[in-house]
Parts: sequence; C-alpha cells; structure tokens
Amino acid sequence: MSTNRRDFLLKAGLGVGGVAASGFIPGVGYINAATAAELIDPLAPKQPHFPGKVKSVIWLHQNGAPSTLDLYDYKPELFKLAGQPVPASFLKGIKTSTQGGVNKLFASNKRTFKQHGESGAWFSELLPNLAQQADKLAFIKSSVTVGATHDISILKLNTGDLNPGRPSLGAWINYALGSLNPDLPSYVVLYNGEQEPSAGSVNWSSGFLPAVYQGTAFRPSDSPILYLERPDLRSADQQRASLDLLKSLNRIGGDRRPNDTELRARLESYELADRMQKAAPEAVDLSKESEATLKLYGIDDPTSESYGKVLLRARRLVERGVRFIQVVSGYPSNVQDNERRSWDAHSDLDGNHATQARMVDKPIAGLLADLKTLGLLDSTLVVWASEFSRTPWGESGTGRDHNPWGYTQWVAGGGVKAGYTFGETDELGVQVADKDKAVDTYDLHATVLHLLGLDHLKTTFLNNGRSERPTVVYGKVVKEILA
Amino acid sequence: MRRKRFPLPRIQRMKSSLIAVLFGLASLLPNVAGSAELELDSEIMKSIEDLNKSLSSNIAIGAAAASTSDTRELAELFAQVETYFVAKGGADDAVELTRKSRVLVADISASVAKKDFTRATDQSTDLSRTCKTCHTFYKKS
Repeated sequence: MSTNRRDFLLKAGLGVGGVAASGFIPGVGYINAATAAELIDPLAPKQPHFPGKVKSVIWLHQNGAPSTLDLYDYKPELFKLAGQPVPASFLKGIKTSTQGGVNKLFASNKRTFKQHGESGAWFSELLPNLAQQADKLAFIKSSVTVGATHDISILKLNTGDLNPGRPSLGAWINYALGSLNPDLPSYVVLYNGEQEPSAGSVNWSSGFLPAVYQGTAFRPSDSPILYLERPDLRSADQQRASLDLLKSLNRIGGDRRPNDTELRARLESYELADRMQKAAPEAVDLSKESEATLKLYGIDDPTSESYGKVLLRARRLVERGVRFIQVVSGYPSNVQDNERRSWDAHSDLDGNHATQARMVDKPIAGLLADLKTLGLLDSTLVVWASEFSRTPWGESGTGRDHNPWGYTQWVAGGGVKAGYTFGETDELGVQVADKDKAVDTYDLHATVLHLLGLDHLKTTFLNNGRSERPTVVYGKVVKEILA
Repeated sequence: MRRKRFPLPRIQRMKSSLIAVLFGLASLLPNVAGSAELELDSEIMKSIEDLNKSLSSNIAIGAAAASTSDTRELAELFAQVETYFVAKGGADDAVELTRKSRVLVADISASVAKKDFTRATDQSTDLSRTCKTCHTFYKKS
C-alpha cells in the first residue's frame, strides 16, 4: 500500500475501527468512533422515531413450517380436487424445484374447518383453543418468502438475508430502542426441547451491529443461563469484590480499544450477569403462578407443557420490560419420534400436525387471553411466523412439501386491526392471488418496527461505509393491518 | 459497494490490460457452446444489484452526487436489460417491469436533484420491489 493511500484513509477518518463503530442511533443521530466510545451504556433507552403502539414483541417462530392450509387457510377447491394433478395454470410464475416434485393434490380426510368469532376467521379442528381468540388476530394470508432449505429460509425470516452476517430483527430493535430493564437482556430467545434450535444462534446474532445487541438464549430449565448461579462456596461480597477488581482491570484494557465492540459486549456481560443472577431465575420462576394460569397455558398437559412454560416465561419477561422475545417452537418432552420434533411434515402430516398443533394451541391461546386480562396486550405485539409453509400437493402420500409462494402468518396486540384478514392465496393455496398484496419478510419486519415507533428506512447503521437498514433495500409497512 | 478507481501500480496496469485484451478477443469468438438463445450477461444483473444497494445507502446518508452517479449507471444498465427482453420476445412482463424500473430511476434522480431524500428512499424501495417481482419470473435458480 502506498504512503499516499494510507494518508488518505487516515485523513478521511476511514480507519477500520472508525467505520465499524460509526453509525446512526435514533434520537442521537450519527455517531463517530470517538463519541461511540464515550457512550457509557449502549443499551440505554433511546427515543423512537414516533410514538410506538407497543413496547415488546413476542415473535413466535413455528419451526419446521406448519401447513397453514391445514390450520387457517380453508380451500374448498382443494378438498374437491384432492387426488388430481395440480392444474398448470396454478403453477404459472413459480419454480417448483422442491424436494418432492409436484404430486397430486392432497387433503386429509380428518380435516374440518369452521368459522369463529365475529370476524368469521377460519380455523381447522387442529386449533380449537386459538380459534376462541380469533377476533384478536390480524391474518396476513399473502405471505411470501424465498424457499430454500429450512436453515436458510429461517435465517431470512429472522435477519432478512439468506446468508449469515446481517443483524436479526431483535438485534435491530435492541440497537434502536435500548433496554427497559438493566437487570435483564432486552432481547431473549426461548425454546422448548432438549437443545438450542438447530438453525443456530446466527438467528439472534447482532451481525454487523455491536455485539451487545445480540439475543440471549434462555434454556428451558430453572437456571436459564449456563453457569449463571454463584457457586455455594463464594459469598456475594467476595463475588462483588472480585467483579470490582475485574472491572477496573478491564477498563484499562477496554480504554485502549474503544472500538472493539466484542470486548465491550463482554465487559458489559460481566455486570449484566451479576445483576441477572437474581433477576433471570426470578423472571422465569413459575412457582408463584396460580394453578389457573398454569392450566390456561396448557401446562397440565404433557404435550403442551414445555411450550406452555416457555410462553408463560415470555409473558413474565414482557412484564419485566424485555423488548423482544423470540420463541422457537420445539417439541413436547413426551415425543420420541424424530418426524414430530418440528412442523416439517414431509410425511404423516396428520400425525405430525396433531402433535405440533396440540403443543402450541392452548399455550398461544392462553398467552393472548392472559396478556389481555393483565392489560398487556395493548402494549405487546404477538407474531405467528414461519420460514415458509407447505404445498397443497402431497408428498410421500401423506405429507406436504415446502411452499414459499403463499401462506398465512398473523399478528395480534397493540396497534393491530384485530379480526382482520389481509391478502389471500389462490383457490388451491399454491401462491398469492394478487402479487401486489404479497407480504415478504421485509414487509413484516417493517410493520413490526413501525408498531414499535421505528421507521425502518431511518433505522440505519453505517457499516464499512454503507448505510444499512433492517429491511436491506426492501420493506413496506402493511398499513392495511394497522388499527 | 461501488469500486473506487485508484491509480494502479504499473505491473497491475499491465495485468489489467492483458485481461481486458483477452476478454475483448473472447467476445469476438463464435459461441462455442452453440447456443442460439440470447443470454443476459449475469454481470449486468449483479452490477444492478450492487448499484441498487449503493444507491439505497447513498440516499440514506444524503449523498446527492454519489446517488446521481448511481442513477446514471442504473439508467444505462436498465436500458440494456430492456433491449435484451424486447429482443428475446415473449417476455412482456419483463419489458414492462424494466420500463417501470427506468421510470423509477428517473424519478429517484429527480428527487435527489431536489434534495428530497425521503421521497427518493420510497422510490428506491419501490425500485427494489420491482426488481424482486421481475426475478420471481425470470431469475435463474
């Protein structure tokens, strides 16, 4: 590299660290490396662009892609034409290079649909409890995405991109709004099942944002974070003295590297961990919840118990000011069959969805009812989302393949037009009926941000000289579903 | 990100010239694959994608000159895309969407000239959606 070029970079203030730490913070404006280093707490609450309708989001990722044709999107024509080939006109404009090819149309003879509530929303027999909450939901029946493998489409669902490296929606929200509770992470990931979700922590990553904004995964057990508890042999005073010494030593090193966000996040984590030793176990402790509440969340049923506990924890985290709670559905503890450990029903859709629907039905219905009773539904947004859905044609005789061309997601809570349905799929549920009403991941993200008081176009961060935003170069708020 | 042009050292200039000559010669050769089908250079689409991201960023930070430069290059590339789809035939959707893109690029340019970056941001997002709609039909998987 020539001396001239090095001089140019230095004079232009484009050193690697400088660029990495530069950015725009809502309510603060553009910051450069120097001021970034001076910010004492990167998680301090920040003003939104305009008054938000909600304070918290519960993002219910239905892992494995449920068939919304078997839950919400009633298609009488599918039942009539079951067993016949898909008419070519329905496949126009889509690439069907999915795993199982385009087989004959499939409809389960167990499936029945009924309309519920004043809104008359359709629900299948798989979701009897959620159906009772029909008038709280706003359906988006024209959802689209990019259909790839589960892991790649899950990444898009959470970060807006098919490749790792971009921040997740929760991280953008954490960055833009900061924390409401200094004793807990403001972005928490919950899951039921024995292991962390297989798609991995890249789905709650902060990407190119400072690492302090990433999500924190809570394990389903009583101790939500590994090694959080203080060892019995160490007193609270000893621990405090040790942390104080560590803090002063770290500060010496940290001051020399003001732009190292990984280090900054690590230093923050020591203090946060100290505070969380008390706050986190209490936040997820369900022992003081009443029997009625436990029952409301389906914790009295082995199939819905683990997911119910997770959603009850989610409500408790909302009560404590946690901004974004990303819940990844897993599987009930009484399920041994690998085919029923997610919604991914390439075969035996009836068996798979009977288990998965029973796992989530009562807990989600309970969550909505509970939030309403506690007066929290108006300040909370609940989102049912999935990486894609499933085809109307069959696979393996009894299952369904992946469908990214048209499916249902829904939102409920503050600022949402409850009991409303936006968009639709064609008569067989292959793809969206009107492409102008297609709602892609970016549009859903833009809408969630809007309800939090954030303009997705103004929520930006300067990364390597380029202004980045949560919706990449896309995104349009779905105004039709706003109250 | 757009490539910045810095003066290259002599050895690199020679290497670049050689590559350019080889590419030039290659373009004069008959299509050895024997395909009579018209092909749209994937580099054009990649350049459009990169320029669109650059434009979106430049609008967001209020960089008028850089935004104008991006729109100028985008206008040229979309003109090439339109020529391709017209020649290809049977791609009315693509021709229509490309023309819509050209109009949007001109609109963005006008908004940037007026320093109306809010409007330019909306128009830029519409342009991205138009690209996406077209790719649903024509992008090779």
